[in-house]
Amino acid sequence: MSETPKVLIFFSAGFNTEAETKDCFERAGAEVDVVHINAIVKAPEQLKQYDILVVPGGFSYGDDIGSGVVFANQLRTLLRKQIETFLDNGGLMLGVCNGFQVIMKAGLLTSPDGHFEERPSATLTWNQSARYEDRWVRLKVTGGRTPWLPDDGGIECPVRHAEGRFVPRDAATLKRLRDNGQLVLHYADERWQPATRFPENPNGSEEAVAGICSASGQVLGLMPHAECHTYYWHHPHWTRDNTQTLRDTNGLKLFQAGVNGAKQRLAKL
Amino acid sequence: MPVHAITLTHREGPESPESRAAASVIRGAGLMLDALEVRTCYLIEGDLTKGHIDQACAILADPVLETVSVTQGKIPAGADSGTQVIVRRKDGVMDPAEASVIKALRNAKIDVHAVKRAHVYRTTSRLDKDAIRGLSRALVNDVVEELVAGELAVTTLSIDAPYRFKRIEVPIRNLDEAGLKELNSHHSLSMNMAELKATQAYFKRAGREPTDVELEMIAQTWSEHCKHKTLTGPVHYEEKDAGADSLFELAPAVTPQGGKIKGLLQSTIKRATDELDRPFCWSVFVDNAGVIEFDHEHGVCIKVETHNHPSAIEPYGGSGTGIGGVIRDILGTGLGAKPIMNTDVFCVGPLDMPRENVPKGALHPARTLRGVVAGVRDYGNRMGIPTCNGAVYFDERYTGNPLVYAGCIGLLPRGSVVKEAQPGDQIVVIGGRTGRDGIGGATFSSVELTEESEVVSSGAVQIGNAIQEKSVLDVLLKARDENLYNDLTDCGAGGLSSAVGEMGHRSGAKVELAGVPLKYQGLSYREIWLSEAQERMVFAVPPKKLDRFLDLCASQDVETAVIGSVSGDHNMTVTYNGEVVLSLPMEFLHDGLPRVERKAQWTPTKPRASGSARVRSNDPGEILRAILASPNVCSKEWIIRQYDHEVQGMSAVKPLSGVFRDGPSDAAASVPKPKGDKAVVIGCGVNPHYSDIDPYWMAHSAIDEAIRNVVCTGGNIDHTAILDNFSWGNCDKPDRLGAMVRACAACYVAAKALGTPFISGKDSLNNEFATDQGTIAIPHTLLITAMSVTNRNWLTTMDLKQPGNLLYVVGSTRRELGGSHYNLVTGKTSMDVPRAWPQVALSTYRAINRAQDAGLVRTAHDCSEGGLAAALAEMCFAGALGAEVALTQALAASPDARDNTALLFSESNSRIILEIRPEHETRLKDIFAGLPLVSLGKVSSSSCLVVKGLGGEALLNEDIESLRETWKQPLFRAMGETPPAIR
Repeated sequence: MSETPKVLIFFSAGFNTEAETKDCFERAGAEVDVVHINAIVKAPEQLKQYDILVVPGGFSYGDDIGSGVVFANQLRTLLRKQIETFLDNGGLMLGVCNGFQVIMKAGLLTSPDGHFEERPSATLTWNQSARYEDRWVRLKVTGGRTPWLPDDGGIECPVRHAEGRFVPRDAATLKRLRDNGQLVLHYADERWQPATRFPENPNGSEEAVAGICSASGQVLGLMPHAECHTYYWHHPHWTRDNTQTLRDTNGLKLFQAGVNGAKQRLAKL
Repeated sequence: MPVHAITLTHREGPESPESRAAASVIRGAGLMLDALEVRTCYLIEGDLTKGHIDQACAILADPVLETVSVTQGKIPAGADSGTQVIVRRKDGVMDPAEASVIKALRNAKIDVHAVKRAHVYRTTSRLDKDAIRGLSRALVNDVVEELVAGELAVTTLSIDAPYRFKRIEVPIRNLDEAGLKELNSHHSLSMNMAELKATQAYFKRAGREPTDVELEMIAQTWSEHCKHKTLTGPVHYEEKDAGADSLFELAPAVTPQGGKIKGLLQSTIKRATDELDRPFCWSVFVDNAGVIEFDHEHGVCIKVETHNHPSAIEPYGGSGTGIGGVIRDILGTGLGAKPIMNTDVFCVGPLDMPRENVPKGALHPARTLRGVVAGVRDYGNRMGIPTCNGAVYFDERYTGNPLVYAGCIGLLPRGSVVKEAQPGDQIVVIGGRTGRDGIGGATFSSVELTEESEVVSSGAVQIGNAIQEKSVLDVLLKARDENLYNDLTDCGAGGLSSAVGEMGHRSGAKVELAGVPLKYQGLSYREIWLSEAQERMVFAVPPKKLDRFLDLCASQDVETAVIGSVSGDHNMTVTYNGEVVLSLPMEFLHDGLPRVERKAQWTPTKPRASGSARVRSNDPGEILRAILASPNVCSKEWIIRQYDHEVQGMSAVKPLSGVFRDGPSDAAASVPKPKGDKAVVIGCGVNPHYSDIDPYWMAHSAIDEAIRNVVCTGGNIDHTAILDNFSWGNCDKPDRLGAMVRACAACYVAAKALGTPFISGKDSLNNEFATDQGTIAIPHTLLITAMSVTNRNWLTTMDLKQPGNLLYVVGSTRRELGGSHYNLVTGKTSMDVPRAWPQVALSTYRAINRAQDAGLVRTAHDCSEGGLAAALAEMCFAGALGAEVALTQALAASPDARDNTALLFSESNSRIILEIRPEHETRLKDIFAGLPLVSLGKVSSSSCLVVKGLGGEALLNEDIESLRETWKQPLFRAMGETPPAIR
């Protein structure tokens, strides 16, 4: 008998996708709590009860300085030990959109040891268009490295951000991430190949990177809102057809893969 | 304390997106600069060590992209070879980034006193004083920002000042009329003589002089903005030469006694609702927003507000606080609703208006539009509420007085619809702190704008802080679910004065102002009581629940202050450190307003020809392309994609539809409970050009259009409610009020006949702009918003789906080109404005619902601006399919419509184009038996829209990709950009 994985969704001023993210994890078979950062900081040992930590989307603290920076620093200064222990014990972590910005700026995705990093070697910055955009994109999945994703296939869902352009510090960083199999999600064109042009590549990300995982694969960050294509009627084409293609590119599989990953770990414990 | 300037330089220099965006704005203003680079600078005041400053730099700078320089007490001048200017917000103007930085630094145990942000613009071009002035005009709004060239020295960021209490009395009892007038203008009360005299009489009876805040609170409570005197007061309507369109014929029920109308709202809009008495209406016209049934557990509520005058002066802050305000209306509906959708409608001047034609004191329309869009974007997106429906309308008369409508829809539990403060409840203000923001907004919005408004009214302008309001939303819904309070109201126009006045209006309230949290020291009791600082809500909390309420707010970093109590003495009492500064009976405040009968007159006038005619030829293809490219019709994608229109995961029909997600949806649909099968559909209608011919038919058309849009998308006509938002000129002028009477009468007739009750509304009057050459009044603009609760499986989109499917049009086409886009682009004028036959429309819409329920409707699209031709074109390019259509005599409902032009371009109401599968033809005909349903042709796999005329001749043979480009590009181009390629 496998246990039900427990998911904690971080909450604080400005996050705004916690409700639909909770819905996705519940449908994928997990138990979910949305907990305010103040309550976690008061009793940080509660993180031990969870199998998955999630930083949702939104505009934490307004994102008026670099997006995600304030919350990333809160995690780094207030919960560093607990989160590193959580990851060392094999826990999974997900950051979507603002959550991706947070864990990227905390260094959790690019550091070689999967821990926090003071000066992360890649960043997410202003879209080349210099503005916020809501637009559906194709995501080419190159999993394998991470329990969060299937080995291949695609997801369709919207991007909704102003600062989602992936920029590594230098060519060596990019090569390291690529060689390590950490570049797991790419914006794709209509032939499902990595997209170089706007608008298929909506923000000008280098190598069309839409999401990356940590060296261990336990932590996944992505800009597009996979949680926003989990019912068939989310897809802009649902009134056109209900063919297999729409079902195949549903984003719920990401949440199911994560929950399954957590279940497998629980079964081994 | 020392001020440290931390300046961030981007590794991409002038190629960084921020720098390129700034360069594009400056280019748009006609200035060419070389290598423009934007840097962000944080001015940080505090006794900081070197270690602290290094740490602050590490927090503020992106480790990959930015380098940092730190200077003391100034931002140094740039290199001699170029030019540097520094832009920052004026002292006391909200900048949400400052709170973010303070939060980030204090988290890291860096004790900062104050923070201010500035942007440094550097170019290698050398600019003289004139060029810098031009740059300033392009970058800076003087109302809220300032620009410094070269170096900026800063010794302190503190704007605290000492305040010594002094109770100020304003003698009124012995003034004559001239004295009252002088008092009125000196205190900017915007009261009329009857109101001044009623106020004087009250204080004579009371045997004392008023204080300054007493006078201002009376003025504010009685203002047009708060009391809607024009719509609720008596009116005497007269008309001349109205002929068949006499109101006494069209709406005899509204004008039973020879034009004497007791109260316009009561005898038209509210009356329709009363007489319809629909059981799905849970709360109408009594609360912030109207509430209708969603399912047996939840209601949906909706409110649309205007924020016109603040947006005219500062578009970004005006529209942002407009959306922020209407969201608070929804938060304050019943015991609190969860906002689930936003809407926005803008009316602005033409984007291609030559700069020299912009009236003095007004902003260029492109700048206004850029600002209002950014305001809604930055506020709505941060609130986590999808902005998913809207419209933009252009007319040169909006240039000096643009219109900004912001709407919000909320979901609330059935048990939370009613609220009532109880004597003994503690009055608690939560959220933002109080500063000198927006003092006098309620009275300011009740007067006309002039070229001086920018100078005298800058105090009335605010900039919002969405994250503050988001935190209020988060705790409010938790407190509601824990049943911690009896009543709540939002702080909007009029600030605490208005909010507490409303909360205590049945039982009375006592408030002590000295404990209100302030942004900075030095505010007088008057400023605290009247401040319109944003993001505040006021609660009435029973004493035994107070601790839990305050703890809950504190647990999510929301500041609170107990400022008084609900009293039971039916008096409004305000003290400052115990000294009474205001004491007025609630009854006088709320019911003491004298009523004045206003005169209303109507004489039809011939509309003026459009100045923007582009087409001289009679070629239907050329006319169609001109209509598709015209500003009201063309794609609004440039705006739509800047809004998050699907956060919360409920979006089922998005604002853009079709194969390439770029077709214009008729309405938006949301599924507020995703596991359920019910949807809410939101659509709108606005036709200001019809007003130039007859506001009666304008209003009727707006209602029909809003409902049509909703029905096309799958809305249930029998579970639809509507809202009115009037933006009108100065209704003390009888012709403006005459137009208003006609529009209101149409609202009654249409709503009653269609069975769609009004559940809420708002009016904004005095939308006029005074210039040297006289006053410019806006076109009479009525925005109708429709909200329908429906079945998710009825939803459809407007893009063609399948070659071989059949196309039908429901509804009748007449020769109705008055105010049409055909007339607009060809420069013609005519009086044949679209009329309406609401009984037929109702049967038609019900038939469409039956067809949707039977699963017959593959596609439905509204025929409105540009008529049948424009609607077909939009369906084709959205579906990336062609169509073969033949016009037939059967389409024409009247002999004068048996004409290709009329059939293609008439804007007759109540028409919808349907696409169905061939095998469903018989069933469709059965459903529409006895109703106007005419075959148009079929969907084709070609890439052309082909339309044959009445004689079988070729009228249109248009490549759909070329139509798409024609329609898609204009707004991008007008904003200085290129539209993205499709696919």
